[in-house]
Amino acid sequence: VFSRVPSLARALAPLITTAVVLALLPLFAPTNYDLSVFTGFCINLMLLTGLNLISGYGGQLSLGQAAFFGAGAYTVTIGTLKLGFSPVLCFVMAPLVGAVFAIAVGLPSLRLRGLYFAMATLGVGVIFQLFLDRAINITGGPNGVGIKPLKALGMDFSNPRNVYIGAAVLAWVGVGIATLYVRTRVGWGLRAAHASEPAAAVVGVNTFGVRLVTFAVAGAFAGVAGAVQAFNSLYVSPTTYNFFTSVMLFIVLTIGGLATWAGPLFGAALLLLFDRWLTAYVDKEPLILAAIFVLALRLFPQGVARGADDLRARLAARSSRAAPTFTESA
Amino acid sequence: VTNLLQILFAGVSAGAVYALVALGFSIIYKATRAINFAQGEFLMVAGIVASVLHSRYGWPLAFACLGAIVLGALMGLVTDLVAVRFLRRPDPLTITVGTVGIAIALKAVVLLRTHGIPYSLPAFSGEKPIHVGGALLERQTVWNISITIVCLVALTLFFSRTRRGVSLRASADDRDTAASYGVSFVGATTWAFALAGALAAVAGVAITPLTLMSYDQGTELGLLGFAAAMVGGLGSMPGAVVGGITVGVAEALVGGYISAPYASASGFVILLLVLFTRPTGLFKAVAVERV
Repeated sequence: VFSRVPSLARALAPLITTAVVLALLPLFAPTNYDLSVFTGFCINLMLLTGLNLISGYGGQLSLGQAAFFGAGAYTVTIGTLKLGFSPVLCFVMAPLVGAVFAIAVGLPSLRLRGLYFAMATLGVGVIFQLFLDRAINITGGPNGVGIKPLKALGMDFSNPRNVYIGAAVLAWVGVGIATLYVRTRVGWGLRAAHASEPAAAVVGVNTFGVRLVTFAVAGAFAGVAGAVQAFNSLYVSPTTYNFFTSVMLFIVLTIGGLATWAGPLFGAALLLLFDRWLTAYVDKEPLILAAIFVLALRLFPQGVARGADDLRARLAARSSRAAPTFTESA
Repeated sequence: VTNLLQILFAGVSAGAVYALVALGFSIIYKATRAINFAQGEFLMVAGIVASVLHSRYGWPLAFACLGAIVLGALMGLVTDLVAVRFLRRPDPLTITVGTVGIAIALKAVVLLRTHGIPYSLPAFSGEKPIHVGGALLERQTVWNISITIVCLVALTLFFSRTRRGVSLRASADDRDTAASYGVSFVGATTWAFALAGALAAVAGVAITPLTLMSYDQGTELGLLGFAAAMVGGLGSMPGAVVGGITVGVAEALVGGYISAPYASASGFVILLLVLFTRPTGLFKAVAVERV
């Protein structure tokens, strides 16, 4: 990973691919319902891109991404309904709330490694969901609450098409930020700390600091996703942000490929498959995803994105009859 | 005082079940250093199956419970087959992630079959509670505490006195050295998962008479059992039991005196406090990945 200077083409590939996917998706959307489902794809892409930073590149398994997602959505809900803030202000606050929440969680928990960190984030997620569910006078409780559509930048976001455009732009910007982020000093430090914590510390990486910053960025991504989700469905209820959502995000990201740029895209596409084309099997979705998950763990232990890379490298090696060389996948 | 006693009874009653679940986590951790996310789902499946065998197929209660326990061991074996043997990379992380897959699949299957209906099981020896110091003590609670103590003693003896138990610990500590003495790691995990599955099933048939059992309860009971195991120190058998009782009593006290709606959060608050301040748990000094 460290031997090659990232070329421009490598850095642009995620941006171009994501742009093409996001631009082509609406062609498959004859109805407004389809568009709102595709907005869901953008939301999942944001969530997974953020999760990929901390859990993929950072190697810290987070099972609490749904909590930051919920924090974003409830920032919008509570801000507009209870506090009377303008929707635009709430939208801008959502990533900040997500990031601050992530820092508050990260300060004590990022000292933990491996499965212990996973369990700490899981604990936070469960407590947060209980709070959303039980604090009825603040959050509206298990029945959820409805909110009004967003009007901003001269656009009326009660129209699903406009919501999709907004979500797609935000998701694309998110992918761009993530692509740049892993190439910054902090990003390199993050990956170095994942590869070898002592080695990274020796060369002067503040391993705790880079993880905390990354966790905050992941929280901000989830916060934006939550705000978009709130204005897309216009209805916010605690079940969307439970432990199961965190686990599902982790599962589809693992299938797609941790620490790869294409991983979040594959993961979001997998979820879209169920939301859009396999709706008849929606009750069997967890079962099918679990089966795919176990199979993927066996067949592509590094995820589909890396699996595809490896396959291509193997075919290339076979066709040239050369000795297989070490290939890198960014 | 009567009120406090009543609350303590409720806490110990739930705590005994958490302790059984925690013992299961500790077995798997001892043998593989992994966390078995399916532990709570084993419990849920066993509770529901025992209920179906008893009320629908008319099995006597004891046989229905035995059947559920055998099924629990089988589920453990299947988990081992998938998470250890099929995935072929027996490191703690892969095994843990594999059990997440099993847990989701089990929960989904039960939801499809039961449509979320809760299942009940009669108490082992009648529903009439015992009067102790003015408070009511459920007979089932006495059963559950006794079962927990028996399991604790049996497991402690198993891990310290039997060949199989010692070899299980050895292969988790140092896989290669154990293998050179003829102890196979994969063979050891098979035993551990079967044992943990059976134990989860015991917890399932023990709690179903008290609370009813539906498809979504396994996840919460599993997580609370994990919190209990962490409190006592993952891998410590007495720690698991003390942790279980601690979580159960804390939950009951918070529910009784502070806030009923947030009572179920108290187990997780304790989990976080333990993780942040003393991740080795109260009992054992296991090396914890922390800097």
